[in-house]
Amino acid sequence: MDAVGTGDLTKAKGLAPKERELLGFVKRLTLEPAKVSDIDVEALRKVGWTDEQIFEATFDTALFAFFNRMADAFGLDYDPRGWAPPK
Amino acid sequence: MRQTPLSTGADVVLANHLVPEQPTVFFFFKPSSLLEQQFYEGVQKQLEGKPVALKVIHLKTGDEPIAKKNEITATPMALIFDRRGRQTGKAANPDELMKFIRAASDVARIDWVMDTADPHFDALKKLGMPFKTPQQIPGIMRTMSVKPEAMVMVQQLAGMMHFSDGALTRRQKELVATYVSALNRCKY
Repeated sequence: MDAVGTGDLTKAKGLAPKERELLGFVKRLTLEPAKVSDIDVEALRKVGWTDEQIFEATFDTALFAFFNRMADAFGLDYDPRGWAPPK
Repeated sequence: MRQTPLSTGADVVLANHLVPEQPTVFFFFKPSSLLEQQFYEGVQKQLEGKPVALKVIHLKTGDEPIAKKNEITATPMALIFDRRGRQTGKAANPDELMKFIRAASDVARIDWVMDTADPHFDALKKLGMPFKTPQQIPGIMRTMSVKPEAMVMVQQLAGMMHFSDGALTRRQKELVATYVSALNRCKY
């Protein structure tokens, strides 16, 4: 999880190959969203992700893009490793 | 560590010396006074490594132009400005100074709920938010505090979609969120 928090997946151990595939999709959707294609989604299905799972990953990616941008606009220092849930 | 003073009496426009992105403290004192020097060193130590800028103005008599211009009638005296360049306090003792610094550090770039007397805060409590002060609200939620209904809905949405198992496990969602936040930060 710590390696994922640096944005460098090559150092992330303990990730299943299909999780790497999913995070590859998350990366593209975050950095070059307009380039996401049918092929990208098909590749996720091929390694075993269901459409419901792909939807949830997409939703979470968009939700955190929203949170990150709110934080950036307001000038908050957010923890790059994630956001602690409210108690 | 001795800090080069911003001025030793000559008039300087303080507004031109604000540090962006953080509160700025202008600290007026007489270095000839051991007591004032110690007060200053204490403040400097307390602010070390913190996102608060400290600028010093050395005075000899207290009658210097910069003292008069800024209505410094006694030393030591600190003027506190928030990140938006508003003077938010004037402090003559360490406790007061730290109180003003804490308050100035709580200012975001864009308005959000700052105190319990704000009607928006009352609205948040009525909507069932368990916070006793606005400062207890996680920052990311607090960005929406001027629209209490939206803040509550986003919190519910996050609870439903992120902080729960679905087709993806919570761990998998946390993986996605962590990676997204890292990638977004990397763009700087």
